[in-house]
Amino acid sequence: MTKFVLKRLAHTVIVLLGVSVMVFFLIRYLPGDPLDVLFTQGSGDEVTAADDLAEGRRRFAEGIGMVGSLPSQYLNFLSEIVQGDLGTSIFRRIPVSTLIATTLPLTLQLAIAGQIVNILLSLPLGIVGALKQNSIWDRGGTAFALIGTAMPNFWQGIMLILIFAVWWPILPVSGVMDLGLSVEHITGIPIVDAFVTGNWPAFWSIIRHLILPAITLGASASLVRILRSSLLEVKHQDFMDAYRARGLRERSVTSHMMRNALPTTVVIFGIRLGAIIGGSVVVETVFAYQGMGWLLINAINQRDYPLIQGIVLTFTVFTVLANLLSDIVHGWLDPRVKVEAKT
Amino acid sequence: MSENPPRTELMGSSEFTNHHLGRTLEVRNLVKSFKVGSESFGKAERIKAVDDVSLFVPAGTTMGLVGESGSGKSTIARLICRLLEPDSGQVLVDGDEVTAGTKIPKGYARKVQIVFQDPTASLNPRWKVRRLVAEGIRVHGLRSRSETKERVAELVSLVGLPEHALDRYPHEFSGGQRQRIAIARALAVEPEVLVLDEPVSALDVSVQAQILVLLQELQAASGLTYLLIAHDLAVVERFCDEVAVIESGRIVEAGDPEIIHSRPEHPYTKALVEAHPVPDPHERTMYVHAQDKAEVAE
Amino acid sequence: MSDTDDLVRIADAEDVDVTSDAALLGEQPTRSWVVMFAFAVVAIAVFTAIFAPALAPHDPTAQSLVDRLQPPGTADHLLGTDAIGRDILSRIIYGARLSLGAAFLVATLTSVLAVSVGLISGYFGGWVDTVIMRIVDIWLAFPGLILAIAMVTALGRGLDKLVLALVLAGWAGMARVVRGETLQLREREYTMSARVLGVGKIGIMFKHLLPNIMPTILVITALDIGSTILGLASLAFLGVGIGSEVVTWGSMLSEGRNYISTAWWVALFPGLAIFFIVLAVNLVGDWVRDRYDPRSPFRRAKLDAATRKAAEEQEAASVRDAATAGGGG
Repeated sequence: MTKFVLKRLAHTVIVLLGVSVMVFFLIRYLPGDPLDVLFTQGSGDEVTAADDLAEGRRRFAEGIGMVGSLPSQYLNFLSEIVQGDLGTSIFRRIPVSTLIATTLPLTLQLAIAGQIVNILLSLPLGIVGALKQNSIWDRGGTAFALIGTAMPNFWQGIMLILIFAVWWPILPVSGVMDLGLSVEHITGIPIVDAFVTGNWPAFWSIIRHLILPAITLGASASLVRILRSSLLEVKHQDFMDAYRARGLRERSVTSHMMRNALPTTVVIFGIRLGAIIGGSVVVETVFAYQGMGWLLINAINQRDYPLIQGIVLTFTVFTVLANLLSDIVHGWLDPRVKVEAKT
Repeated sequence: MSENPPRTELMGSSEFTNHHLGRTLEVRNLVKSFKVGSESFGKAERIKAVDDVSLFVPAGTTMGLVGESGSGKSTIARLICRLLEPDSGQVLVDGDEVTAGTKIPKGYARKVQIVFQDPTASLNPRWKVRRLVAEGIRVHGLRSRSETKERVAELVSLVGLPEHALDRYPHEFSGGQRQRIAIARALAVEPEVLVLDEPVSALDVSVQAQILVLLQELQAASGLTYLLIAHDLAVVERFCDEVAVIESGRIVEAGDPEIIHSRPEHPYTKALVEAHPVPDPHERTMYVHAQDKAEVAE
Repeated sequence: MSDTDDLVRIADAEDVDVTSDAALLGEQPTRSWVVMFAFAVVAIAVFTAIFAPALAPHDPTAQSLVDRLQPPGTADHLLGTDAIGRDILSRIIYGARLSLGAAFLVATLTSVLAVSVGLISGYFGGWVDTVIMRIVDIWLAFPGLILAIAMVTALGRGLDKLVLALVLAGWAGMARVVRGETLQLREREYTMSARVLGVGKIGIMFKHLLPNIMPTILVITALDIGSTILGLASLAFLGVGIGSEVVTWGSMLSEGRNYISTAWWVALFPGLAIFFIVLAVNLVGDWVRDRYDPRSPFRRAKLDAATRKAAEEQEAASVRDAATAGGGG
């Protein structure tokens, strides 16, 4: 097990290094000189005189680490991100790491809420589908998943706003909580902080604001198909028939089935968690939910390159870590994985 | 029996006698090892699949190479055909010397061809027979377009397939017919040495005899040199001029097939003989001969 | 949920690795009337895209402040108008051009790139393979939509760059599958037989391996088109790489969101268009998989039946042979 974990860790480190190289070059091979773009379009820097422009440009280049040879720039970049320094936002004049630290908890809160919705829908549909194969429930679940996958989530979000905020106004449509409310900063995750400090008005407001985005993010029930087929695979294996032949009650046969289908589900869950973090970009934009995805779209519109770079990097690192975690849990649950130790 | 048009006249046809004289196949001190185990921790062990093997097959004769699966016999076949690079040692065919690390002489591919065990796997399922058989001719630019067409038809009838076989896909044929296609494909480049890697062990017993007879006829007609790889001493016994028994990459016994079969010296050979009991060797031979007659008679 | 879709697809394609061949075991073939419906929707959409100028009642960009935010059913505007009085039906009809055209282009170019990389990696093996597979790992580490956004940001705005960005962001998953397939086929006897015949590497890759990988490529491409349409729409909705200067369903939705409290139809109809076309394309994709994927259980069942038939025939033939042989002896 230790060997397997070490191997996976080593692989993760290599992948993360590669990711950092890619992000580094993506930002540096922007169309034209990014500095030109910035300094001719009269962006945030209020520079008027030509001298100031040149000076500003020089200072700016220094500020985002665009001086010196490429390898040395990369090494600087790497040593800085390892220390948690992601540069400074051009427009907000705030360290990127600070901006991420305030928006990431919101995105995590949303992603987890979305995944809870996904599981609440997928689990019953997947299990019923596998147990009562080809029944009306099974067909219904498959159809639900099919429709869920085809529905663009930004549209689904807008339609939810239309129904629950315009036609039948019972839920808020944008933001994290009602204006005028605030929570003490403890963990940074608002819902946890509100709960810990017993700030119930804020707590309920946060929940109410989470409902529509979480449904939008999770209602695809994207786990149904995979859950169902991994359960079915186990169901049709010989040892299940052996259990039945031995006279085990159908209920304990089912519990054996669940236990054996668990590893696959964990892996898919991990992959999906990363995807759901990515999917939050669209949902946060629809609901003006000020998380990291919303910030990314803002940064792109403002050409705030250090911020774009920082957010893309953070999203990816989180996805990679989610995959690593699910792989390790998978290896722990299913001993066969370690033997294969596929890279 | 559409599979067996008369071939008696082909045997005597001057077109194929002495068309090209089969030359010798010689293998000298061939060594090949493989890595086993995980590479990432640098503890990869190497096992010798072929350990200092030397063989000499005179022109126009057949050498049988017998061993269990994993004994290294198929590795030798692949080394001779340059599907694998040997660690050391040489393969000599018609004066062309192929040594470890050297470039393969141009035209070597024309001299040595292989027929694999499973004809279902050795024919590209998406190609028609015409294209499959013509491939070698085209790759080496042996003939013009119209000559190629003629030659392909000739080869197909030579291996005993009807002409309408040309425009069909491999999956439309039985196992024995597919093996005939594979043989025609190998013969297209007019090789001197044919490596037969268990050519009949995937086939039905009755079809096995037919394919072996076809191979014998082809050898008689054109003087091909064969290296026949098998796991079954009984198959080799009747078909080969000489037999080598291989165990764990080494030749443990070699000589006349009859003698090896009836009086094996090496314990491994003994085990091999016992592993394939033939109720009565005499009776078995009778059966095969009966089949030969049936084919010839038709 | 749309953006997680490519991962659903990749997971579907790679389930074979994660679990086993039987991962698809439980899938039932889609019912035939559903498939017919899907094909009909796709056919109508393609027809609409091609003949957009003839079909659209209005110029999709013609503004009319008098007619702004007209509800559906208004004379002359079947699906209503948007905030600056443009006809929504006409915009949806023209939007089909970009949604389908660009998605088809992205899918085709992605396949070409992925197949070339996968074939080279799988066939050459060794360090070439190691390097390419590390790059694939890095690519797959990014969440799909985030990578597409990063690529678009780096390449700049414009339809051509958007297509390029989606291709550059999306090739890796398929390249890995093609490489896996190539690794298997490379060891098949027919590949070796061609090598012994003296066929060169390029010849083997393109004449022997490629035709045999084609079914897999076709299946993955068919399954990918739906998520490509969604990806394009997502980027247009976010205004990344492409904005309202081009008529797209995504940008129509993005504008519609601002008028949701007064004019629901502006956002409803383009969304429905996306939904139906993606649903139909996905159903067609599933149908293609059932039919052509060698790993699909339905396909396998069919092959098994064919093999059994061939075996029976062969057995019958050999019985005949034996009988004749016996007679001759």
